[in-house]
Amino acid sequence: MTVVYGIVVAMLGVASALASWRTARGPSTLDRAVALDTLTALAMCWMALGMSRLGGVVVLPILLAMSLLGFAGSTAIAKCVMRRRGDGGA
Amino acid sequence: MEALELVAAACALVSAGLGLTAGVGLVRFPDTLSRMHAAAKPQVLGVLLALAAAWCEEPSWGIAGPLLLVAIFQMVGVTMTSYTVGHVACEEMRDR
Repeated sequence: MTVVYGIVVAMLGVASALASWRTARGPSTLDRAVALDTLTALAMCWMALGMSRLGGVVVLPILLAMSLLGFAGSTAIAKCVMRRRGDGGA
Repeated sequence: MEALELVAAACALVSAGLGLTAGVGLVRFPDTLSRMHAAAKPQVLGVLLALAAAWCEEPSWGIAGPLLLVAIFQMVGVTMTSYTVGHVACEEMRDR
């Protein structure tokens, strides 16, 4: 079981590194928004799997807050991009 | 109890694998729409499987309630975010 969770941690670590790379590189604001949203989901995976492995219910409220905040942040960024473009033309 | 632990480990493995595909897709795909396509699915299924793994370790109703709430928020939120981001990205691609 420890080996399985070691593999899980390695995979999640690589995924988080790749998403962070895209957040730093991303050519447009939307790319960064998408990458940050993925990072939020990966953080939720980290916490849920950590709760699964280590026990304890401390992270449940954090999971609830993150599932709401990640959604609000990304949608707000997309709306801002849309409005900025709407001022120029269209 | 042993079976539940096995289920939890399997869910954790699949969830981490989905997260890995999201990371690889984010780095390798060429434009915003395909990156969003690659990233959105693990955001739902990967998180749901991670929540299932968390429940399998301590199967009780007190934990199932908040986990179900997180799952519902995640499904609704990711769908709406993907719709909005895809709308804006599609308009940008069309104007270019």
